[in-house]
Amino acid sequence: MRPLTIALPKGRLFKDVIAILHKAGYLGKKIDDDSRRLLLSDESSGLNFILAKPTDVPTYVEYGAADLGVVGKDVLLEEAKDVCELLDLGLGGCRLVVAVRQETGFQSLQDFPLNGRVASKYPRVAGDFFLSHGIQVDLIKLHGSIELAPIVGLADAIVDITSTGETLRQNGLKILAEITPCTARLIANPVSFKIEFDRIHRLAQAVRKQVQGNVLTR
Amino acid sequence: MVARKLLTTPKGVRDILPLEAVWRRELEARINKVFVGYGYREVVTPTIERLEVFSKGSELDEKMYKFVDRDGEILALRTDMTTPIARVVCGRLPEEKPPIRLCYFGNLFRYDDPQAGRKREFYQAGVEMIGDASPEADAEVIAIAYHSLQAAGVEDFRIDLGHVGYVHGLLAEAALNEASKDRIRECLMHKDLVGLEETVRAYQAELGRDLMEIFLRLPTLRGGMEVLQQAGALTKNPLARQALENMAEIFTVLKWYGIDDSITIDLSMIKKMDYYTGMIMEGYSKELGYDLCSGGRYNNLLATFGSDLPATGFALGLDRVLLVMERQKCSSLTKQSIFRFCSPGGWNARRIQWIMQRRTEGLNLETLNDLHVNPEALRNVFVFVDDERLIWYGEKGKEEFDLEGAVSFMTMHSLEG
Repeated sequence: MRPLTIALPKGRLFKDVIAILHKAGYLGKKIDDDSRRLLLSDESSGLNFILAKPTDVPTYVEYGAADLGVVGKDVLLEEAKDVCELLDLGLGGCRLVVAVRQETGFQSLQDFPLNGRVASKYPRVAGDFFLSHGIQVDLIKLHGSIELAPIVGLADAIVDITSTGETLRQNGLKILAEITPCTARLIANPVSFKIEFDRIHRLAQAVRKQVQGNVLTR
Repeated sequence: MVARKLLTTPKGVRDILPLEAVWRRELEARINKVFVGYGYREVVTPTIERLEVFSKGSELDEKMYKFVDRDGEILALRTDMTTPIARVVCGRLPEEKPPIRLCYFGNLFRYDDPQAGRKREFYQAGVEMIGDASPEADAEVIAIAYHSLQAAGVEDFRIDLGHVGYVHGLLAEAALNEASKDRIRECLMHKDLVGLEETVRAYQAELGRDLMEIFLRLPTLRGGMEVLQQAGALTKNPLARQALENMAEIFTVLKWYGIDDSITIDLSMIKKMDYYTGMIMEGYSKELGYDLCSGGRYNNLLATFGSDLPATGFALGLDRVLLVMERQKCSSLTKQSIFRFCSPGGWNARRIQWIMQRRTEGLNLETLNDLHVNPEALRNVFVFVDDERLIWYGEKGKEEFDLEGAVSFMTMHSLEG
């Protein structure tokens, strides 16, 4: 039988995802994301693993290079790929928010200046959000340390993920609006989901049992 | 010096080079044979249509290439073939008695972000069966899809069969506003099971317990005939039950065709194009992450062009099928053998007449002029010694033939492919 390939995100979510797959009986051996190897296989569970950068996971899955993947909802929203979202793992809980400097007088989105500049790792999400509120903004794509942008005058606001809001506060920023809560999701290639329906459905059910607590207590 | 950029194509379109072009012709020929075998006749419609033609049926308005001609009329590059054919049937073939069976091969244009399986110009082959609302007509379309994929040599393909009536019926029963129903449809269309569960649970009160359970189970309602019974036991809704009955009838005909083993019933299937009114289908192979063919019944489209006729059809993505054939290293596709001839010192009537004779016999011959080549440096070429004798410079050295011998040599190697 052809092994199923699952793309896992290196970094923040990795350890928790591995633990869940292990408990669900889909991972017999130890793997870690420090490994220089990017492709691993586990004969006991019949799974192949791709270790990828989180933002690349939806791409591997959309093209069918991986049948399954695990990735944050924030990345899914930004990448907007044609993939099936099978399961909320309830992991890595955070929120996508609009944040501005604490000193600004902005109380709500409506105070935001016309053609204000918004810096983000999530330009699509940010653009869609402001557009849906009828606010025209200029988007600036950044790749990291987004909190810096308002402080140095690069942008009037940022769109980023936050879990406790602590990093934002430390950088003198406050939340102006919440866009959406985000957790990790199990995703599948649409054709794999059809052709390998029984195996993928079984895997999703087994994982679901492990994460039910996560989703309920959220 | 030519700018490098000038040598490339714009985003989303591409050149088809000789090797692939040969495969493409061969693929079209095989599929055409299947279409004709079912009694379908080809129509060719223009690449450019009036914009309003497409606005009638298409969900693709945003993805259309639009432009204004010199008379000020707004035109569009075709985004699908079904709509132009509906126009042709109503406008050009009003005397034809249904059922009207038409097929097509053509290029389409959609302003998509080029990504997995999506180009801005792509090629489709398909059939439209107009004026027949019976389950046999739907089954015929599915059988043609099956036999086309088979003729193309695609291994291990599957076809999913769904029906817009099932979900439609369930939603009609739900006490939800249109926006919430759209949200459920959207989740089903993208197979967003997390979103579906969230939405359905959020509307638990409006849906009621039974309906909520059905929607939660919907994505698992996949399989053979037995799925129809399971789904039937879940609902009393007349529209939904009618849909299941219709699918059972279609499935029975597919059994008569002997192809039901390759068909999976998927009751959660929903299509992007909203002109479908009945059976819907999709075909795919494990070699490719996106579908190979797609279609369904559209009973309302022709009425928008003035003839109230039911219709059903499907389209096959030729670029995608070619990709699968390439991945499967489809050896069944023959290579074209072309034999090259050189006549040192120039051509004459006798040699040209001999070459022409071979061409009428079906061999492929290319003539080279001295101006362009140095015969000694060439490989795989016949060089005339005089009007009776030739030397073949092959990969493994040279060999001398008389005219008769050259013909046998070519015939043998043509067959080898």
